[in-house]
Order: sequence, then C-alpha cells, then structure tokens
Amino acid sequence: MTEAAMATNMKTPSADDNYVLRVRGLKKFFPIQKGLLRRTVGYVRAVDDVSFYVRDGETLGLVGESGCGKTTAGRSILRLYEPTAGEIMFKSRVLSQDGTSKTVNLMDLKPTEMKLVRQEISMVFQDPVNSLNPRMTVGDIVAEPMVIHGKYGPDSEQVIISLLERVGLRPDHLRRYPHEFSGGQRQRIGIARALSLNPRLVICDEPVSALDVSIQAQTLNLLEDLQADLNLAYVFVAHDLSVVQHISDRVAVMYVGKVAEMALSDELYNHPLHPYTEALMSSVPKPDPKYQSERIVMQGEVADPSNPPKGCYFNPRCRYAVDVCREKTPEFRELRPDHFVACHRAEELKLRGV
Amino acid sequence: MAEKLIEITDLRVQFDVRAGIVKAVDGLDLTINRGQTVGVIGESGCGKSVTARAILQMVPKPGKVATGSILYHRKAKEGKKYERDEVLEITKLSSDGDVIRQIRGGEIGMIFQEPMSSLTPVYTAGTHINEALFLHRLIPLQKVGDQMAAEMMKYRSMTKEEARNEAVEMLRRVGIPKPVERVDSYPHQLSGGQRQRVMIAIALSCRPEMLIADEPTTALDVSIEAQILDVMRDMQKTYNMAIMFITHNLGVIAEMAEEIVVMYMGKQVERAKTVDLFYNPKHPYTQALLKSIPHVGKRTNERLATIEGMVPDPFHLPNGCVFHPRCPKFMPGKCDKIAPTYQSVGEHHWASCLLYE
Repeated sequence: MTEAAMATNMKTPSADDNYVLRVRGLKKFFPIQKGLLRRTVGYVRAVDDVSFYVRDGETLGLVGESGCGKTTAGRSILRLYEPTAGEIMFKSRVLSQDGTSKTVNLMDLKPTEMKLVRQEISMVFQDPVNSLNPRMTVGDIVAEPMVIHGKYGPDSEQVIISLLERVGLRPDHLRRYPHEFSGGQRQRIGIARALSLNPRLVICDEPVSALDVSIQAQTLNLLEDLQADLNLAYVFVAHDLSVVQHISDRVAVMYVGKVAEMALSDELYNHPLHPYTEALMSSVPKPDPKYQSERIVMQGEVADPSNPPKGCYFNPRCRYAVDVCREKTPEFRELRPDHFVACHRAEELKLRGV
Repeated sequence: MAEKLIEITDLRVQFDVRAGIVKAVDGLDLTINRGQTVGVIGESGCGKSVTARAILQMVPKPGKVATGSILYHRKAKEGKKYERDEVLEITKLSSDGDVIRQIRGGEIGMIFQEPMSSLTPVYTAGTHINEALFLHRLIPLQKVGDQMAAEMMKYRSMTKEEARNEAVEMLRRVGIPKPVERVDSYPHQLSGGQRQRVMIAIALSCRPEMLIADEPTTALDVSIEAQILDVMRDMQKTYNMAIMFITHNLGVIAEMAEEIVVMYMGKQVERAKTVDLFYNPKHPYTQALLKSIPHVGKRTNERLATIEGMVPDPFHLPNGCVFHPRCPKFMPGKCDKIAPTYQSVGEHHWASCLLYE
C-alpha cells in the first residue's frame, strides 16, 4: 500500500470496508423492578452507546474495571443479551448464497438466521470450570456445536481429534470428562469447542484470568497461533492490561458502559488521550522492582450505572475535570487517525503513558 | 537491627488421602523479620497457602505438619495478654488451645483471597471488626495506689461503644468512604474492593505483629488493587508490622516485597532480595516464570516464553529435581536422578538447582 492510500484509509477507518464487525450505538439497559407488581423503577445502563469495529483477522481488546459493561457488550454482540438499541453490522458468509461476505445487521435477523450466524461467531468463556458440562466427555463437548447446527457427520470425529491436537490435547482425551483436566487444559477444551464450526470471529471473555502465569502464556500463544492459521478476529475482553496489550492490535477502554478511548494498542498505552486511561495505566503494577511508579490514585468509587453522574461519567474522579465536564456528555470522536476518545479536554491535556 | 519474628525450619506438611500422601510443603526454611515484607510466589498447588495456614496452626484436615518447626518470637507489648518475651513453637501448640487463639488474629492477622466468601453475610462490617476487637484488644486500666488490684486486673476488654468507634476509625484508615454509615453495612451492600478493605480492617484492628496476605488483590481491579496495596504499606509503616505476601502476580510482588521466596511443588526453589531475584534469577523455574509474563508498555511481537508441560501430579512426583521434566536446562542423567539441595548461590541468595552444585 502506498503512503497516500494508507493515509486515506486511516482517516476513515470506520468507513473502510475492511471490518468483520462494526458496532454502533449499542445499548443494553437492564430494568430495575420493585414492589409487588414488579414495576420498572429505573434502568442499569450496562452498555450505553458503545461503538467499535473489528477488522478481519485482528484482535480488539476490551478493557475496563469490573462492572463497566465489557462482558455485557461482548454478549450483546451475539444477542445472548437482547440489546436495547444499536446496530451490529457483521460480514456473514453463511447468509449469502454464493459464499462471499454479506453485510447484515444482527439486530434485524430472525431467530433462524441468528442461529446460522452463531456458527461464525463463537465464544470462549472466563471460567473453564463452570463453562464445561461435567457430565459430557470432551469429545461430546467439542462436538456439541456441530450437533446443534446439524453438521455432525461420519468424519466429524476425525475433525474433533485434529481440533484437540491443534489446541494441544491428545486424541485419547476424547473420552475423558472435564474434571480430569487442569484449568489450563479445560480452557483449551473451551477453545476447541469455540473453533469447531470454523468461526470468523471469536469473543473471548476473560479467557486467561483464571489461569496460572505459565499456563496463561501457553494459552495466549495458542490463541495467537490459531489466529494466524485460521485468520480469526478476536474480541478479547479482559481486565489485565498487560495481557491485553500483548495480544491486541487495537484496544478499547470502557468506563461505566461507555467507550472512553479506542486506539492502536501501542498508541493507547504510550500516548493515552483520556484521563481514565492514564490513571488506569499508572496503576498497573510493573514487574520491575527498580521501577519507581508515580501512581495516579483515582478518588472514590466507580460511578453507579443506574444513576450515573451528569456530564462525563468520569468527571467525579477525574483530576482534570472542569465545568464543561460536569455539564455536557463528551462526544466519542476521532482525534487522531484511528484514535478515538470521549473527552472534552483531549486536545489540551498532556497525558503520560506507561 | 533485623529482629526475627517467625523462623520456619524444614517444614513439611503432608496430606494423607486415600490415593496416597501429598507433600504440600516439603522442606521449607524461612525467616521473617519484624517489619519486613516477604513475598511468596508460585503457581497454584505449590504450597503457598498451606504454608500460611501452618503458621497459624490451621492446616485443613487431613493435612498435618509432619516435621519441622515454626518458632514465633513473641515480645511483650502493651495491650496484650502476655507479659514476657518468649519463643513459642507453633507446631507444638494445640490447634484449639488458648495460646494459638491469642496468636490467630491477635498477633498474626490473615487476609484471605476471596473477599466475597470470607465475610459472614448476616453480620455487618462493624460486627466483624468488633468480634476481633472484643477477643484481642485490651484497654490498660490505670489505678493508682491499689497495687494488688492493679496487678490482678491490669486490662479490661473493650466496651461496645469503644469497639464501635474503633471500627469506624479502622474503616476510615483503610479508605472506605463514609465510614460512620458503612460500619452498619452488610457485606452484600459493599463492593468487592470495599469488602477486601473490611477484611484488612479486621486483620489490622488488633495491631498484629505480622499480617499474612493470601492473594489479597487477585480478585480486584487494578485501580482498587493499587489502593489496597497503598493501605497495606501505610499500615505496615505505622505499626512496624511484618507482611507475608502470597501471590502469583509478579508485578504486585515487585512493588511490595523486600525479599521473595519462589515455591514449586511444595519445595522452595529460590530465595533472594527482590531486586536480585528480578535481575539475576538463578533457578531455571524463576527465570522461566519471569519470561512468561507480558510487560506492559513494552510491546513486542515476540511470543511469550512458556514453561513446557504442566505441573506434575502430586501423587507421582518425578525423581530427582521435581522441575526437571519442564526445565529448559535439563541435564540428562543428573537432574532426573539427584535431588538438588537448597544452598547459597550468592550473597543473601539461595537456590536449589544442580547447575550450582
């Protein structure tokens, strides 16, 4: 690609046609019900106007503190939670007749069509213990998506064996039960299950949080290898910032249901534009005893998503907050090429990275 | 200057289960000085938590301390029930006797990993703290003149009102907003970070000589983790308290500990000052562990170094060095036959590896 072509490409990243998934204005509100008649008295705004996109074969990291809506956002994409509003554009192969990609809005699909699309978007769950049925053998677990989608045939056992080998398990593990495996191996079973229908996009919800350091490294490497071999796109939801930086091409930082900042991972870590990103980065403990950190301690607690503060949701904890931050909700805008931020003062602030 | 507080020599804890004997801790030597922070790192199942529990004589059944000794150097202090300096052998104490019950909570506090399940849901935060205060905190009674009586009742326990005020004060110290209201909150009304701070407040309310923190921040977000670590450091300075910090997060340990012990399969594989351990690790396991973590801020397209294979089955430990099947520096004919001894490999640096024998 020439430099000129690259420049235009970068200026309009959301308009370029290279994405697999593009989410715009996604909202998921959970009603709060009270009293005998279960009257709705308010809403928890778990995901509140979130926009992001994932390009073909790349990894988008989704980070934030617990309760910021990153898991809900991940699940809403698959409509495991029915989104309240928004647009989820996905390039589907199964829905087009001729095998090419067809752009569909997942929100408009009928249940039967949605089921077809779920072959192409799969999910790896956080807890490798609870996400595997203890009464099913490994072979059955990995085969289940194929059975559900009517793809299980005489050759499928061979496919499953090669999948197990691909994720680093042995063919003789096929007839064993989940309790016979360690946490890292169970997560591999979960990954094999997610890959059994050749997905295009895998949503990984904290896939390595429950694993030990050495096993975590093995699993991350496995995910990277699979991505390179199968041209998978990942939405990688996690709270460990160093892991997210390692695996992601681009990272979106979420705070109380909104995306605060989204950029290429190096750019985000080294030149953050949002004060929340800066504070979050400064609190990551560095595995270097000589490193003298100047930690920015965020005052107070995370805002309550059922009763968020006026203006920018981060303003009560932000050390740069001015009057406009308490009044107006900042717009999520592209300040530099491929670098989006929702902050009124993003231009003037000089923030430091890690 | 360095005054010993806990001295562990050749500690072995075994679990005798039907399938065989699991050596959860297998020959651990460790000294913790007053006011010092010692980090213990290792993967799950390496015996970190069992060691912590052995210090408080509360190894869960069917586990028992097979051999070894844990010496606790007790020093007389105002406001405690004992009056003279003595050295106690913790492993010899009855696990439900008076002495160990004074030590648990009163002299050695502990924070557990799960803030969700270590608080009783039916008691308020204040009640939790008060329970510890009633058991362990004594108020000196000063009676002038009547020496006989003063000798007999030098201390009294706290009154309800004093305990409540103290609980509010502790909650304020650990950084809980609106402590006067929060003292009456039940655990479910608190967030994860607040619950963990309540745990810390309970552990610190009795001004312990040592705090055992078993993965205190593992379940928390980085921003809250940072606050909790600050609280712990602050309290350590105020009370000259020793901390035994158990974790598998190398970033946290680099920040907190002065000295680090690395454990693998119940064995202590390396011990050094923090800076030495991070910059000059001797044991191949420590080296591999340090290489396998992604460093924030330094993104490379390199793959992470991994430790091949898995933690061995505790019932069938490999011969020789327990790490040899996964070791990148495996020496055939040596590592799989001879068990390494734990020895000095530098100034204040010990490792157990045949490379240095």
